Amino acid sequence: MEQKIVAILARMFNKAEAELSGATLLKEDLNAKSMNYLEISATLEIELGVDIPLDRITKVKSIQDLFDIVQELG
Amino acid sequence: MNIIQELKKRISDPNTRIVYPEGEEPEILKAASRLKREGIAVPVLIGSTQSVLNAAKAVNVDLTGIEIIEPVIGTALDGYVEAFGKDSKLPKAVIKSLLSKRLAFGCMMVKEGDAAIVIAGIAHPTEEVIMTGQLIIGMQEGISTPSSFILMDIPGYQGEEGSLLVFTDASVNPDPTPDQLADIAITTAGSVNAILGWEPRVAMLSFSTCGSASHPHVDKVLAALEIIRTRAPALKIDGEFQLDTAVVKEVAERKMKRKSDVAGRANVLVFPDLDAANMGYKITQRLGNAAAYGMVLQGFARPMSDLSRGATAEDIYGLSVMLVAGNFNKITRN
Repeated sequence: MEQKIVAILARMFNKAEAELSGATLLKEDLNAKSMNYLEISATLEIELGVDIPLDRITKVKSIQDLFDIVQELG
Repeated sequence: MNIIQELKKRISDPNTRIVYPEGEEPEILKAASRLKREGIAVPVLIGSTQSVLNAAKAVNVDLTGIEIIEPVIGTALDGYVEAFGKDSKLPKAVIKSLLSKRLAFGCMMVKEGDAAIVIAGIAHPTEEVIMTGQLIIGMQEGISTPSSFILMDIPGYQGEEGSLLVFTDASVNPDPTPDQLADIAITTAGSVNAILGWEPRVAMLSFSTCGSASHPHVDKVLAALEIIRTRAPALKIDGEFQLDTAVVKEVAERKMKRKSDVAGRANVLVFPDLDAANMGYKITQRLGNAAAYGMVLQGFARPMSDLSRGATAEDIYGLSVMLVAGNFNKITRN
């Protein structure tokens, strides 16, 4: 699951998977804008079958936070 | 006559299509029906046809002649998925899922020219409305900060626009940077000109007037002012002003040591942060018995706006009239 999330984010932000880890910060390291959270949410819903409410996804700071939410709701 | 009645007179095209993604909401239905009945605009409702009709029946609203669109495969959704996919790295299945959501579908209708204006927010948080607008519609050229303004009609106040003043930004940006404050001021000046036909005179508010106090909060306003003067040299803007210097001629004459096109006669008040702006408009509304029209969202490439969760049919009607009355022809996409 973690690998899939990393692959999705790598594709979305034009990064190599090896550059990303749980410690990677979405805003600071990936330059994620608020609208990117909508894209992440829609992608996780389709590719992992996990529906993350918007008020949860917008509070995500790091990739580890994303791992934790997907684990919890998946 | 209130300002909404006056703006109705400025509407030159009764065929402006306004899309309401929350088509099953009773207050939306009431407003849409009135807009259609009065020939102000052509409302388009998004939702399941049966649910929309049931909701209309429950509140005794006549939807004759009002289009209802369900964002499902086999409709405009197919073309929207193709169009969005041209500029997006997202897989097609993800785009389809994203655009099947009513809010995104409504924004896409506006982006693709199938409607002129999108109004939502009664069943979606403001944050989601803004994010969806940024993702689908995009921002106005040169602007990267979404913001809002509210039009206040203040009994007993007599400025150059009568009892009207525009306040910004009372709902979106909690602590704007100087760049963001510049975006807010420039965007609001454009909106005020487009919707109300005013020549904007913009006051950058502070607790200090022209250096009467020194503080980082004052420095922020001055930094924004400098950015605005570079980006929009023709704009009538001045500051930093306390509120009374901005809107009371006698105070401006007493406090100002130099000539100003704005002091004492401002019609747009740019508050330094959300605390000040939100409290400012609520004090004016609740203690000053002012009528508040908006919030109007701004900064997007095409007209869109947000509704509060508690918006009434009257609020939605008023906001719709304001946006239809606006001449947004010059607004272009990035």
